[in-house]
Amino acid sequence: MTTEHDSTTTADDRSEATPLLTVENLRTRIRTERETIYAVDGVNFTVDRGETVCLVGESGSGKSVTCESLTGIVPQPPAEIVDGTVEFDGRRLLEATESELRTIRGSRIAHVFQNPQSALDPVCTVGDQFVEAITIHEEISPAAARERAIERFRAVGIPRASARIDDYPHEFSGGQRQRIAIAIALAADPDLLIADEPTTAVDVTVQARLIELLQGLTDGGMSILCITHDLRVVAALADRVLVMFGGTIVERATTEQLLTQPSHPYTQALLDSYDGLSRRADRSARGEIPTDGCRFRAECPHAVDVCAGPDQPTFAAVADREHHAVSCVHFGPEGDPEPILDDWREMRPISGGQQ
Amino acid sequence: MIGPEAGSDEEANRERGTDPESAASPLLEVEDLDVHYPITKGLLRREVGRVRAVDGVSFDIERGETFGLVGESGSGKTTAAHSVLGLEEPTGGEVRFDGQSVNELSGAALRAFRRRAQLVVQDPNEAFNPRLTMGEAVAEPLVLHGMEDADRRRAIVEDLLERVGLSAADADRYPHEFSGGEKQRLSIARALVLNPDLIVADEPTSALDGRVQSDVLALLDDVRREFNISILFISHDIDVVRRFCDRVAVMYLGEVVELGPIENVLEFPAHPYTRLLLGSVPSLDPTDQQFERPLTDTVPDPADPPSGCRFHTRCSEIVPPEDVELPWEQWRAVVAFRFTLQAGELPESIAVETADGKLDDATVRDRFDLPATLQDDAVDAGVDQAISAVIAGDLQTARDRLSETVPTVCEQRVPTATEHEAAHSVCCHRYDSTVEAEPRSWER
Ligand code: SF4
Ligand code: SF4
Repeated sequence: MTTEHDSTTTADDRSEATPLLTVENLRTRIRTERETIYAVDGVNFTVDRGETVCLVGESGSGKSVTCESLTGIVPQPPAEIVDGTVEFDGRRLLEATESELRTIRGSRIAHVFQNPQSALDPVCTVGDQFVEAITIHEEISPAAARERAIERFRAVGIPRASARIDDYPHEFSGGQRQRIAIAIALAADPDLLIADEPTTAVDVTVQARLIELLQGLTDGGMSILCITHDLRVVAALADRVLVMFGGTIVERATTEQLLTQPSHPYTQALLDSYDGLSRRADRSARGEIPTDGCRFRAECPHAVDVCAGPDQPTFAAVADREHHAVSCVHFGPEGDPEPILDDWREMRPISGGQQ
Repeated sequence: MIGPEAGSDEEANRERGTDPESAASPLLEVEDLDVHYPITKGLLRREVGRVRAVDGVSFDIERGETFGLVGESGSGKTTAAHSVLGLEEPTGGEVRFDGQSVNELSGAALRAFRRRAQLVVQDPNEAFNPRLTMGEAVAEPLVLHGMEDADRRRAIVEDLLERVGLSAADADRYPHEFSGGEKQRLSIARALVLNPDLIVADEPTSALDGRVQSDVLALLDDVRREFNISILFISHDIDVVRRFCDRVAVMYLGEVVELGPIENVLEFPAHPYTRLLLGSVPSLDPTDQQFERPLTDTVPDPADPPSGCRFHTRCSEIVPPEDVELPWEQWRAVVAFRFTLQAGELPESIAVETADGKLDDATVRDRFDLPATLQDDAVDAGVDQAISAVIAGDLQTARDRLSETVPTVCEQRVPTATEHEAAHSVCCHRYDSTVEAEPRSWER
């Protein structure tokens, strides 16, 4: 898995050079009776062809709403996409009609969720569900569709697929259901798979097989945008990582860079919490997250006055590294990031001591 | 917390440790615990079988100790923990709390036990009645145990809320006003309100993530140190168990397969199943993503567990018969072939082509990594016949041939727990000196 996309592509190879997905300044608000939540608040990122990008962050950071905004599956209302552009293979998705989006979701961009039950119809055989997914977007004879179903269920590791294609979802184990959900999502050969915590609900031995399955998909040129809170899943799947906090991306890096040198103070805190009964006492109680400036400033040990904004701090490269940038004032032209980088040297490097 | 003045005399005596036995024996002793469910059929609900959800499980928990139970779904860890609390009736064995059999408790002794052993569940959203304020919810156990003085209850609750990192004023707020992490703190507060000696925590942090998860773990760790509480911690998350527990028991299909101090079991796992679990967790090093593979992927039905060692159908360290002379890789390929056929979960390439009549010897060997000839003549002949039977579509004959050709002690004899090193027991023939098989080395 290479991450050197920008440097290795040539100018005349347009489809290689333009990212498959470009998200700019995406803003999604959720209005509830009591308040307006700035769930996604100015998010920019790209996903290249054949690349796996992981979005990490804690619940409420906006990672799911970000992904659900791309193809309009976020329920509107209460959500409202108020700004931004989403360009997918030359098409602007935020301007697309609902029926255009439905076509894109069925054929070009597929979703897989944490809980496969939500994607599978309990009263319909898994084979019929596959056939339905494929015939919506493709002229194909029932027999050929069925054959394709067997082939795909086999490819995702469902044993005796030809015998089991007429079984109902409940007749499969949890891990197999997730594989079937993935097979159905992939029925129409999408270019992009958006997977929201795809391995969170399954046992670890099953997770290992699902990770192998997902790893194999990108070899065939598909791109994956994967939401996870599990850093081990990030290590296993991601080429690049985006860290979200309070509706904003705060750090972007290759997987290696992120795990060895997390540089945004929030990323450091997140990674540090992963393997310690960490400094709970040192941390002030987490209250409201600000909706301007650096969203992390209320909890940040390095906060200074300019962190208050009004805008999110401009992204700046970490130690001149390609692909690695953070949204933190201390990394900007006037700042000194050394004290922050020193912090991580003091915390236990998580990929050092243990496996 | 109920102060010393709040408890009855009986409780006060206990707290002062007047019972000479209480200091010596473990707080909780689980001995040979069985929880079997009948599988019934028809109108008369005739029993046709039993799910042995928990089968012969034994462990102790010392005062102030955190003991982890890990395993995948179907391992029986939650059922075992629930039967410790009496939430699930054991069908065999015994649970002793402070030396007394829990099943025999009644009256005041039972009430005392219910006070001293508390449960914290996984989903904090389900733990609270939306119409009660958090103060009322946390105080509820006090009311149930007969504390009538509302001001005292209020004082106890406010004190507890502060101890779990919330504020006294939170007592007047309702569940929906709290985040998941705060609610889990509140359920810990409610578990603490009766001053328990044991908390059974069933995946207490799996609904939480990141720093909130870490905070709740730190809170549990603080309270157990401060109040010398024992914790039975059920989790599927090995990272969490590693951080939090003193000792751990690994369960597979209703049985404990390995038990010992956390660093021994998780850094130097002895049982092949523990090794599979640890080897399935992705490494934090992105350049090192090799997973351990089980012999077969099919998890057996807990209602019909395999004979002998229950793990044998998936164990990649399964013991070869003494008279079989095969290099390790060949042995593994042959048993994998055997148990894949037995599970009936045939790879599609084989099953489809059976129907077409196009299957040949080379395809089957290729699919199962079986070389054209095996080094052991008898095994080679048996495998040849089994492959012919597969090609002919006669799976039963193929299975029979293989089970005659490569029998294993692992399916014939139930392994017993053996002390592998001090306080570290393993239930596997490879650690049993009467079985001709050595432990295999392991490296992550
Ligand atoms: S911008 Fe300020 S508050 Fe935000 S991470 Fe950097 S130092 Fe902390
Ligand atoms: S007894 Fe045999 S099958 Fe069971 S774990 Fe040990 S080696 Fe594996």
